[in-house]
Amino acid sequence: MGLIKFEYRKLWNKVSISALIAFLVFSTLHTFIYLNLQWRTLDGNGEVWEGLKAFRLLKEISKDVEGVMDQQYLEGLVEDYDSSSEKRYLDINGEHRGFLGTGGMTKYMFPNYCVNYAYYGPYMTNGNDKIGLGYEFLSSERSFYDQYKESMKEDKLMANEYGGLFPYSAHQISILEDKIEKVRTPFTVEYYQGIANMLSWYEIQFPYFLVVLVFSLAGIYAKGSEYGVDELTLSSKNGRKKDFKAKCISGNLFAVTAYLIFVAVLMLEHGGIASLHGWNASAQVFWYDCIYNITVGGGAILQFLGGLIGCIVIANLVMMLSAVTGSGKAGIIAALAILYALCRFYPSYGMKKIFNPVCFGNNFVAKDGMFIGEILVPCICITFVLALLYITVFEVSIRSSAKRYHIGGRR
Amino acid sequence: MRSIISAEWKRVLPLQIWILFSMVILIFTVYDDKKEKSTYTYVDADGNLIDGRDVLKDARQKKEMIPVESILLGEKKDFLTEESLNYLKVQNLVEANYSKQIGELTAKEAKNFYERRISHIRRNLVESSTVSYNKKEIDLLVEKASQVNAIMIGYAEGWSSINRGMEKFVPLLLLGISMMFIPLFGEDAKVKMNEFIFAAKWGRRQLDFARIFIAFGAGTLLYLYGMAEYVFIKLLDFGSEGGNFFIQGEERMFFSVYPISYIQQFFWNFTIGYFALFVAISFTLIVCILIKKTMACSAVLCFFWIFLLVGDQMNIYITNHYFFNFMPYRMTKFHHYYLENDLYRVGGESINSMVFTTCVAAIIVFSVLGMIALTLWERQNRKFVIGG
Repeated sequence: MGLIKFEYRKLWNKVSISALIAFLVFSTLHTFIYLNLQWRTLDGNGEVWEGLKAFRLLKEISKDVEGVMDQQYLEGLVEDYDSSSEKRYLDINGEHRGFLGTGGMTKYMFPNYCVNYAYYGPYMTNGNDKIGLGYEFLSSERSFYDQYKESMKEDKLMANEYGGLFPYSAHQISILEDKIEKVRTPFTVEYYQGIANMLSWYEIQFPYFLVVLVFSLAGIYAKGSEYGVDELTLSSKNGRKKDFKAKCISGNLFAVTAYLIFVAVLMLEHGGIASLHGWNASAQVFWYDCIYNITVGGGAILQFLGGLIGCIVIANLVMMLSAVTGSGKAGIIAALAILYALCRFYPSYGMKKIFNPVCFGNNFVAKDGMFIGEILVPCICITFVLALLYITVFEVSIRSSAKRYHIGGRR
Repeated sequence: MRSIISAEWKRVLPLQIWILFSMVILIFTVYDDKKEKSTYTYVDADGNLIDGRDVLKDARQKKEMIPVESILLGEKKDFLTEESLNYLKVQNLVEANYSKQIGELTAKEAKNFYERRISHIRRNLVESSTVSYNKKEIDLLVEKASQVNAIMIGYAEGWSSINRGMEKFVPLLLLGISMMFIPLFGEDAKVKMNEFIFAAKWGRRQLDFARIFIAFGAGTLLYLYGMAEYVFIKLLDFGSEGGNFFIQGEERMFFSVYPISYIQQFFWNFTIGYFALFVAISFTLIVCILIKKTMACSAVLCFFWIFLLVGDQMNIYITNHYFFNFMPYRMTKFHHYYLENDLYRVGGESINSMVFTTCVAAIIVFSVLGMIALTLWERQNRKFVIGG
């Protein structure tokens, strides 16, 4: 235990602290500059508010559309929207036709996009043309949710056709239909823009966060580096086996700590700008094709958990490269090259991405499932099993390198 | 002094680094060439896949160059066969100018080819959502644009490929070169040179001066060498024909207001890239002097470049106009100089972004050099004790 503590302390050195601070500065600038300059809110008077205050205003005016999406809610929504100034402003043939696709926001985004998904299904995007409510299925709650589930099914089947690992069998389709049928209705609508921003920024910045791990952990088994391995380490009382094990555990602990700092900073920033209100909204209001009965908050936690698993896998990969190369610089170059290849060349669409640890923080881990035989397993469980597999391989490599580890001599 | 420069030069840029540098450029350029050629691949009317290499070979062999208006007026009907590269080029220009196919053009429309281009440019300037140009500025830009009066259609793929590829190549070159100088002022735990450095015969001042000289001198040499290798491979592969054609012959540059040729565009890009290199090197030096540890410097610089990359991807006019335009990454995204027509207004004068950016880059370099000098001077005057 003492050894782990000392190794962990060693990892908080000038390199890792510089990398983490540089990353957090980048993350903060990226968040504030983009949210401040690009986003704007349309209020009920047809006025557009820009800057960070636009989010606070959106939260305030969105109280009108919060509630349970039942028959009464849908009737009220259609009536309100039809007589609203927003509808006139967002007219697809008008001068503001690009408003919603370019950072424009309105309170009607939260319920109306969900309704439009029922109509557009796999072709759903955001934009002025997909905010209207002129659909016959809105005449009753039941017909709306029937239509919604049909669209969800169509979406899932299309996703499988174009990006699935294997085509669904007839039995698998029936299991999927059953699962979709069990999606709990009516949905709860809440303002969730702060959480949406946070998760969106999280997905963008996650691969860059992994660069922090590369710089911090690439020297953990490097020969002669300040916090790597030297003659004293190898001749210590505990022996190299225990020391290498302690380094590995502390490396993982470091990765978890740095990840928690990253997530905490994101939560603080986005909570401060747009608030983290909306944790209890139904996941389907945010991830329209989510087949699980979870809330937006629950989905966010699952996504963060997926990211944590991915971060631990990458941390072990970096440590393995450090042990194999025995050099901090070579470890960094090799790890950055692998990370770049995983981001640039590995497909980020379809279910193939489930094998890529850089994608473990994407939203599919929260909302999707994958068939293993005839069982529909949540993606988060699959990423967990895959992570165990990857980590085992890396651990074996580290141990094998540890056995042959020499300082100053040839292996 | 010469001996210090020589020793430091060998330390930072040994022969292996030069060889690695050359190899990386070679691999990048050859890969880029291959990708570039594949963009010319198409499926013909009979459903046959025509390889991009054959398309280029065919176009190069023809050695023809004809003004676009002659083609449109039907004076050179034999020049255009539907599967030729020239046909594709003319079609792209016609589509950009008229939103029509070549066959749909009337003689009157074909005659007004340049007038129509100018009217598009004027309308774009008037309706611009980013810059509000005044009448004088619009007239000036339109006047420049109207100097393009003889767009030639012919084989110029070598130079156009060089100019297109520079947007990917130069940022990587700058990143690579500036990272090479991290060990100049960065302290490596393994090397532990400080004891020797502070006991050097000529003292720290000359050593610091030699290091700054090496950073900019060797940076210049590496930049020249890298660019020469890149251009040589490209020209060897695509040929050097058509360098004097107006850049507007390429669909991407059709609405550019600058009446310049591909070769002139290359030299403009080259010069701006050189200024960007100095900015990148000066940032590297100041970070290394302040942070000292090599690895920590690398991490900070890595995130600095990530920030520049993400900033460019965000593509917000205000941040670009006031910040990213003067940073090495966006400085080398050359297309925006020719297409976005961003202007800076200083003392009642409107300055185009190309000139203004290079001036600000020079100011940044001198300011950072001033900061470096101040930091080093302060350190030289500080009493130094090894291990203290």
